[in-house]
Amino acid sequence: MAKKKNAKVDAKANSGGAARRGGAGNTYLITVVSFVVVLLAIFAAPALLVFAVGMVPSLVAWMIDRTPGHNVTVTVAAMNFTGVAPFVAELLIAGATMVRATAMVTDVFVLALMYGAAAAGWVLLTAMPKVASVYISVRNEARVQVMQRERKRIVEEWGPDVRDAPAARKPAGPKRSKERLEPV
Amino acid sequence: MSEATLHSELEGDGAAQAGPPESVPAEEIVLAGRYKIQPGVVLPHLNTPSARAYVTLDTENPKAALYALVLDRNVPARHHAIINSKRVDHEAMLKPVRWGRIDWTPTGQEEIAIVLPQPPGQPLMQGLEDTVQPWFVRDIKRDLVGPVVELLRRIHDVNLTHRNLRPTNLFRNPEDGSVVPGQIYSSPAGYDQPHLFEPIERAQCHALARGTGDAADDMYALGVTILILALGHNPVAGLDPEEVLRRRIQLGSYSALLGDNKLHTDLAPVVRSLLRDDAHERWGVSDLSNWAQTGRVNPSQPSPVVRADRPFEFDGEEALTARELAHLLSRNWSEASKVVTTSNIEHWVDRSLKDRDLTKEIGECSQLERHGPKRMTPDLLLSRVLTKLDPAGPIRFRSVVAMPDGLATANIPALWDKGMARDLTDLIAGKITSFWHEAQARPKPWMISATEVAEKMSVFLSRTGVGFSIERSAYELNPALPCLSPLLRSSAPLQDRELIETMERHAGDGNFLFDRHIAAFLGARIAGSVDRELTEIGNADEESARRIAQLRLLAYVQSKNSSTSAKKLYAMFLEHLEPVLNEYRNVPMREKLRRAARKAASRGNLNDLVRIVDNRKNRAWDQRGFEYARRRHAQLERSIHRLTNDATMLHRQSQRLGHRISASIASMVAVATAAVLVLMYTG
Repeated sequence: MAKKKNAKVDAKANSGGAARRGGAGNTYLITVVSFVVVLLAIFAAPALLVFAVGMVPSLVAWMIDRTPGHNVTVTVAAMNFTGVAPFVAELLIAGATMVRATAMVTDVFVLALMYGAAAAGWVLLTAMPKVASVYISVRNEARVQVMQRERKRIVEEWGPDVRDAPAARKPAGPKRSKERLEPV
Repeated sequence: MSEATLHSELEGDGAAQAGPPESVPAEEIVLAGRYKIQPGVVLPHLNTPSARAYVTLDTENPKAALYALVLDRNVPARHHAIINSKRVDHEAMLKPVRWGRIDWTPTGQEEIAIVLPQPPGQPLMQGLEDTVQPWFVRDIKRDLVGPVVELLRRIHDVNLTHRNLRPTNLFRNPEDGSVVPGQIYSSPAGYDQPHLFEPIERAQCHALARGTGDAADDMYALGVTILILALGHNPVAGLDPEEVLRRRIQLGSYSALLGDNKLHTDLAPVVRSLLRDDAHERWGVSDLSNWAQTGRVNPSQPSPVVRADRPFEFDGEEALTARELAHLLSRNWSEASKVVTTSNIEHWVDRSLKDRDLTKEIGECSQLERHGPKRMTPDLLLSRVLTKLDPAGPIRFRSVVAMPDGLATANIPALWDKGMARDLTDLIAGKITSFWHEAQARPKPWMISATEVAEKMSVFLSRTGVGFSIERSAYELNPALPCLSPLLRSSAPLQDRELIETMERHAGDGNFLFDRHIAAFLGARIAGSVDRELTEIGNADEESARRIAQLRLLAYVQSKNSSTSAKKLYAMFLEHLEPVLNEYRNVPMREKLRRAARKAASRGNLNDLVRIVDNRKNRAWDQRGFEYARRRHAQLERSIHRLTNDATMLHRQSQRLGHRISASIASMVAVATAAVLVLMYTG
């Protein structure tokens, strides 16, 4: 009963943690985007147009992202923002008119830079798991070695029969410190 | 000691007149550090059917004329008589000086020996086939009846019986001509007696099951002795004992034994009164004493024996009395058990014997009483019917024919005869002894102790485990029976301490020294109860558990005899308990225990080994630890397998970590870009 209760608590904690992690990512993203959109809508509507058109890859990424924590959306959006932000800044500095904004969003070079930055995000998402894989493999190898040493020690201490499948009930471990072995 | 010296000492003590010893040079054997038994000097006239007599010297009293009886180990000494003989206040009583086990070098075996004073003079007859000068009535009165009756009176006063009176065990003192009865200790009561010296009911029994008897049995043996001495020969010498017994049942003992011989008219009523087959009609000590002193005879009046009009035919023979029929039926048990299920016996008793009461009683034999057996079998029914036909006769049940007071010693032959052991067990379980007691018209002095023996047997025989059953019954009820375990071969320990010492001596022989005999012997001999330990041995379903239980029992026995060291026994158990140590899962603990066991071996204390191999706390720790280790091992197995073989998990982890790193890098780039732009915009 206690174990079931604990399991439930753990499940809740895990699901809550995942929700918080996903929620934090989303909140962060929505906050940044909303802040930028609101600022642009108030002070420079043409810049909002450039921003909206430029951030389309992020929108697409957000729509297709099913990963926990929405790391794909964050990566693509962050890189996409890196590509869009200079043009929005340039528009704001030069004077945010609809003509300039329209010219900017119809400029292939501008679009290529903004979308290229987003593509760089995708490249990052593709390359980094391979790097991580190498790291995890090395780490796992070390863990396996530690576990194999422990396994060998157990067999040496308890004999080869210890390799047999354990009983269903989980027993309490030996209390070496409290129990005195007599008459040895 | 030379033969000449020996002879001179014997002559000096007057013992040389007791017959020439057969001398063969041999090494002396010392009992209790004092009594030197001469295996080379046999005293043939003191031999018994179950023991040989040897000249013995008392080193502290060299003038004492002693002899030692070396017993057959399968026939125990008469322990009750050895103990109670001290209470017999009569100088003619031969009281045992010492008894115990000895290393009998001629055979290389241990034997039981009893050291006794030599009786004065020669036996009245060297053998029962011999012929002697017929005794006159006055000699019989003066030299035989007078002194023997006086001694018997003293013996009976302390609730003992002689049960060994016969011309070959009665000795005539050369000084005054008086007769002195010989020893009574070398075998159970009546065992050494030829059948004709036993009353009919005891003569029918197995020699070891004739029972302790009472004064009437001694008077009967004395009557036969008088008869033989008066005639100068044994009138039934050379006849088949079974034929003599049959004639005694048919004609009565007096007529059957006397045959065509004639007794002196003064002696005939005396012998007839002593040979009455009904013990209650037989002369007692006072009657015989009165005759010896006054010469007056008050012959007992026998009850008439009812004879049938027509004989009962069975197995080619005919019976005319109930007692004859009981004897006839008991000789062919399998056929008799078929006959008893018919109503032939009842009809014969009713119509030919014309005994309505007996007919009714036989008819009621098949009824089950509240305290009787749960199921009636033909064997039980036959045994009951035989008891009704011959109430004074022995208990008869298949191969067992025993007097109730001889059931204790009846266990001994059953030790080697499985069929007899089974019969004895069924007899006790069938409550035949109770039935026999209820069938008796008049009580006898030995009935109470016989009932107690039957109750004890019932307790032991009802359990079949090690330490109980027939072996326990035999050792418990025969205190002088040595341990007869085949594992101990040449040894004959009498006490628990001696058994441990014997086992220690034999421990290196390669056998594992523990069997049903040893267990039962310890259960019977040790002070206090070890039934719990014995039950543990019986209940152990694994070899190792059984070995530990055996060790615990022996350790307990050793602890009760603290001076006994048992190094070889310790080593034997350690060797056989190696699997028990191997059962410990924890290798370091196993090695520690093994080292501790070897270290303690030098002390030879079995309790040390018990504490080492049978430590529950260690076992529990080991068991729990093993389960934990097994679980942990399985857990590690799974983890290693997952880490080395689960590509999906590796991919998933890589993806997750890669995406997280990507997000972090991209976020940092974005923040840096934003920062640069803000700086540029504001700058």
